[in-house]
Amino acid sequence: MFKNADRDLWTSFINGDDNALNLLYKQFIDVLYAFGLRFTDDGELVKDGIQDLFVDLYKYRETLAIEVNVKSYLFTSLKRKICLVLKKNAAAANHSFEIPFLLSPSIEEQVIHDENQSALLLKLNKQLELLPSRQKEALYLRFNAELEYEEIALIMNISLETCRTLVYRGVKQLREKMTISHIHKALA
Amino acid sequence: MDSKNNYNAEDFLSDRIPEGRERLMSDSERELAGEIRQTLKRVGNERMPLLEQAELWERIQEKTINKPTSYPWRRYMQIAAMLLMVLGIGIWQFQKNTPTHKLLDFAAQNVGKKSMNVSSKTSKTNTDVTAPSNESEEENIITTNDFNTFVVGNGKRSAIKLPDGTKVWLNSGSRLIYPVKFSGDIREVYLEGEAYFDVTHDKEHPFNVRSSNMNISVLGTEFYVSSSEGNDNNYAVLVQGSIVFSTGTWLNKKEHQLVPGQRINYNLKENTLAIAEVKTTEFRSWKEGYIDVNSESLDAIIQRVAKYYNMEISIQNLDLSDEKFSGRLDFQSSADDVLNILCAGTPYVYNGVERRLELRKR
Repeated sequence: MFKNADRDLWTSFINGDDNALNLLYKQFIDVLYAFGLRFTDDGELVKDGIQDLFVDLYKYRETLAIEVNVKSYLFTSLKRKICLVLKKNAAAANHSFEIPFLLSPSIEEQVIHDENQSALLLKLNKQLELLPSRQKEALYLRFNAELEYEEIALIMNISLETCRTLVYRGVKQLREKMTISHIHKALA
Repeated sequence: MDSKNNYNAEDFLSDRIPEGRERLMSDSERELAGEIRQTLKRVGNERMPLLEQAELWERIQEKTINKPTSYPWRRYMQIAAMLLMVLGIGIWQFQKNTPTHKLLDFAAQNVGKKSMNVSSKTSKTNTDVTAPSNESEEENIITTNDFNTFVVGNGKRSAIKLPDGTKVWLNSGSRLIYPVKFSGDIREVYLEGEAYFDVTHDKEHPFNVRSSNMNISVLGTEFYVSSSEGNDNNYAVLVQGSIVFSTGTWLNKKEHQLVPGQRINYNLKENTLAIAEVKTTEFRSWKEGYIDVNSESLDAIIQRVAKYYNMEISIQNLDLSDEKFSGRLDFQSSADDVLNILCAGTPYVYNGVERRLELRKR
């Protein structure tokens, strides 16, 4: 249902409805901003990326394909824009560049209401942060942004099977690290 | 891990458990899967503050929708419909010779009447009028005889560049009358309402702002004027340069020269002048079209919006002190847009017809 709504907005934007661009912006600003911050902690850089993204949509409106997964398209473009800048910056500073995936919980997120759970969830948070970037990205897109495997595969530029495997391995590693604390919890 | 059960959290979360076999997973695995899901849901949810969202959209809009002339005509019609234009269509003999007399006569004829025919001759003036920078491009200029009348509707603001290069930002519900072409020794305009002037320097041709009961003479400077008929307090704020403020006729003329940072108040009833020191940054940012807020509550911000657009907004008896905002609030769109953006994400909505805030209906 939602996907159709996105597609409708996209189509009417391509067909010349300026207001649809604003609606697309409102629809995606939150998820795009959060996703952008996975690659850098520089909020201004993410904002610049989002601005470029929407300006490009407008600029290349005539050449945009109607048959496109809107969400994947926007996520992919933003990621590319941000990583391009990061890569340039790294090259200028003579650093090597690898696409990161930042998932450390913010201070507010660390405050968990349920005291009993807090230790366990904090540990999960820590283990999550230690996973390889690609696994983190797949897990985040699947369970936070709640995307379909097809959409994730497009964004990460991998096959559907690789995508499922990344999710599988990510969870498996978390589970193996966490099982010990589960046993402790059961004994307590 | 569990020997009796085949499936683990990773099977569950990567959708590898065939339909109908979900029961072959222990409770602890199920619980762990839920916790992993929860953990992922809780990290990386940064939200851009609403004001920044609005600001970013403004930036995008300036580079896209507002950049070319996409639909100027439609926009022009919308604005035109909101305006209460007062236009004398009678032919006034401009027998008095001086430009000042002509301007004042024209103003006297055209300002203050509640309503008359709106002339069908309404025309957009040509190239000598362009709004500076990215201010709204809505030009509501009526040209009659030798004068242009520039009108800004309620809840709107607009800017205009005069033939001599002087820039004027007009506040909601204001009107500026100026000659199609400045001629003679003095550049003279007539203002009803509130405006910020950035006057092009020209020593040879002093610039005068006139209103129903006062006059301001300048060389080249920036200042803000508020003058409304029926309003007891008229004032001017000098931001930079120098102006001479005068009022009354030759019999009881009062005059005062201002220095930057001063505000002069003219009380019509008591016929007195008062000088005060003010912060000019507020007037500057008014001109630029934004205010900066730092953890201010929604009700305080709404009062600033109301003041900015020179209108009243009722918040009824709602307690808005818990809704706090920080950042830069852009005012270039209309008051309605600003309030809608502010209210997004709060339990309130703005009712533009009644000009009041209401609780969002579920």
